Amino acid sequence: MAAEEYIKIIFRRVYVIDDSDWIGSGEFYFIASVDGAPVGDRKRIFNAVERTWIPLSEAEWSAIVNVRDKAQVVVRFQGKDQDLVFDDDLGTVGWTLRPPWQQREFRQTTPYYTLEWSVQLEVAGTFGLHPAGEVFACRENDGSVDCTTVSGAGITARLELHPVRPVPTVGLPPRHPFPAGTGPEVTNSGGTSIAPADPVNIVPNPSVIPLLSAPAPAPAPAAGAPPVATDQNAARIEFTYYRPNVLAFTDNDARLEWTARTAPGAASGAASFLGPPNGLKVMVYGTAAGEVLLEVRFRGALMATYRALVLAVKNIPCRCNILNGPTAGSQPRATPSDVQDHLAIANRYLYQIGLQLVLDTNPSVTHGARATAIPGVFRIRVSQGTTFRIDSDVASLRATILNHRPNVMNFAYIHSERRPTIGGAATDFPASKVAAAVAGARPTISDSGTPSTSWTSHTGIPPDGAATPVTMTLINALQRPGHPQLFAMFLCDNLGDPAVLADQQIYAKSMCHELGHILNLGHRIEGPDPAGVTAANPSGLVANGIYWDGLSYPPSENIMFWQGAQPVCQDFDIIQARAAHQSPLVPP
Amino acid sequence: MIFALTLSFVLANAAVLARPQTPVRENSISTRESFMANDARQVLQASHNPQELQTAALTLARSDNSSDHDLLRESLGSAGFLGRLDSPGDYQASPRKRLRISRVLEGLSTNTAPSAYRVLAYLTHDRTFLMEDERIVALIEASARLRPPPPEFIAFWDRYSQPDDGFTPVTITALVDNGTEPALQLFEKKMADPGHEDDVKIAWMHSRILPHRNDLLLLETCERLLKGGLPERLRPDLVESLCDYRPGEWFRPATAVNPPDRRLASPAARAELRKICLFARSSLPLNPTQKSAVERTLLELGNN
Repeated sequence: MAAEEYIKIIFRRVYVIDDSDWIGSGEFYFIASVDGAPVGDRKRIFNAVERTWIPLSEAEWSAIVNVRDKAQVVVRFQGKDQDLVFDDDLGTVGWTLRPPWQQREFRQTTPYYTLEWSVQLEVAGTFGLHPAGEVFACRENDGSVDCTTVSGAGITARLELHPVRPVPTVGLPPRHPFPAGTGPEVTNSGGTSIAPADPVNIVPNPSVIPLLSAPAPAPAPAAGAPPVATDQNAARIEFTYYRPNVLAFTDNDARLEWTARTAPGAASGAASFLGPPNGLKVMVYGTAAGEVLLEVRFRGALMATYRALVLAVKNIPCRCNILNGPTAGSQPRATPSDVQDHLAIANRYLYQIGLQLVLDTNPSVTHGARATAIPGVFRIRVSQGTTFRIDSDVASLRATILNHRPNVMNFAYIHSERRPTIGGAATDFPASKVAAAVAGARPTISDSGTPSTSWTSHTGIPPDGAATPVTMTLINALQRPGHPQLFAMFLCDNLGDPAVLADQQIYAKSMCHELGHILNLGHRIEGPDPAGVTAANPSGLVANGIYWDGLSYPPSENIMFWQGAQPVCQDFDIIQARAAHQSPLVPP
Repeated sequence: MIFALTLSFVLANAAVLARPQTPVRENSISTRESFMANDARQVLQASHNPQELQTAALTLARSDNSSDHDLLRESLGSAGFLGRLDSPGDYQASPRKRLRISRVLEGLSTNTAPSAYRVLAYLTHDRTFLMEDERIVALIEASARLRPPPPEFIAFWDRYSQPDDGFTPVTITALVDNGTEPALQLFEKKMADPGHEDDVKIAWMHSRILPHRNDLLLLETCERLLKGGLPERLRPDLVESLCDYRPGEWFRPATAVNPPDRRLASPAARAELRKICLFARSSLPLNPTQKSAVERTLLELGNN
């Protein structure tokens, strides 16, 4: 898929020094060739008056050569003066052009004439005099691209599209050293500060590209088809790093050309671009479920790749119960409106794996629950012990079963847990639909695409080695007797002020983390057991590692990190998306 | 140490102490104490700066001077002082952000002076102090460090470990963390109390007993429970909490607790656990998993 590289040789004009005739002006004609092919009309006779210029038509006296695989291009120009007996040879000029190809002007002289000619390089489909730093051609070089500017200078460049945001600061794939003097890098590696009203697609570089219907001028989608792709719902894919800065890429830079194809090894998957497929940032929507590989090329050289799943966005119905104790001091501060905000922010995190929480429209209530102005959000009067400093180690926790509905995600907002460090916990969830290989063992799920999920080493991003298949272990069901279809968790005021944005983000992040457990995801990195490795706990990890997903990357930049801080832990990766969609809570 | 505290207190409050200050002679402890008490009294009575109030109260709480504690006790029983130390907003935010009163109580509870304990004991029946649930929680948490606990705390703990009262989870933690005989006797009583549901007691076993299962006094308590106090149906659960570790069944991902390293248990504790295991093996209706855990534990304990 390497781009062609064209140069254009233009014989511009000839200055007559000596017309070679005794009387009157000369009758010049020219025999020119470029790369062995004749150029111009050798039969055309020019009236050669000494000390004047003979202009040559560019259309006739120029040649375009694809130098993509050439080691040299020979340029030759011979002047002749037509005579009655035999023609005089006015001399030959020429040059052997070699890489690095560069735009330049030539002036070559014989005793009879001076030839002016040019070499122009095609950049973005245009020949002409380009700025000296403009890149003419690039060659892939093991994870970098070696570029040549139109003036023949070399630039080593690299572009990355890391799937984790914020981008981890350690464990990144290696990069070849840049030549001395290479300009600094440009990064776009931060996390996202989400507000409830932000577009649902605000988190960039998701692991799932949503399956959407093509926008106009395509026909309106049929009933039941996915929503039409817009800039509010298509996936945002953004660069995370490039170097050197002198390339000055822009968000819509035409030099960076994106394409999408079914990921190698995948049975299906297709995606289209919303808007121009160019630049550092693009918007993509899925057109066929499966797995796609996005590729970015610079002057035809593959510079970066991005892999994602293409899935239909699935709605998970949920209901939220605010459990009010008997006193003002035992009532959670969250209002139904706050709850709605928490869900909105959580949905921005969840959209990256193609999931959305939607409030339950079923108005049925139990346990004295009262509807609020927001359907799906309820209030329940409870005893002090049900909401204040609860002990969430109790297996049949009362708080999370009140006013529940089976097969619906049930959130309980309580005042507090007995430990100030616990802001919420998943309390009830069935097993994943992924079967365990051995009865009693925890099920696993694998991903072997390139680049690897979360860019776990080896990433498959050159010069790193081929992507190593990744296997993630799911967590088993956690169920109380008699409630096989209960999906439940609680959140509490330990998370902060439910009405303040910074704390709302913590609520939402906790909501997503605990929901991740309910979708059978384990901790991405598990905390250490302070006692270390013991007979009872040979793993040396919290809970003997039974809630660890078995993976150790990224080091903390994942929503399932065991003790996540909201600004850092914002990502769900491809393998987690695969697993989450296997939960019985996610509609088929 | 007293000087350092005094000096830091003076420096911290230099801005508010605008009146002429009593000269301090570096080597005169009584003068410094007098100075500190006087200034602290003024801050506690008049200041509306919560941070300043906390600094003053903490200084008094950490003092080894009983008159400082008397002074502090007056304030801790005063609605005015408590309201200036922590605002209504602070109480609302307290599940996330620790109350200042909690730090003051911690200062008292880590002070081994009898007069510091007396302040805490006084608070167990001070109606003004006990008007806020969060203060009760803070007092329960502070009390876990009182060894031996003043007698007032036995009644206090008992009062705040009634079924479904909202304080029991914190109180049970305090009792087991406290680990003294009186505290564990009350814990034993709670384990036997039919008012507390089985599920709740099993949670106590898994999350409170488990991290302390190397403690001799707790093991002796467990032995008594297994031989009589605990309902028979729960005895195998207690055995498995002492011998096994099944976090996937016992804990949620957010709340898992780890057991201590058995190798660090004292010889006496190991002998006690061995006794429990032998009793459980011969006298309790254990299921195969529980039996296996007991056997593994006996193997781990060896003949020590």
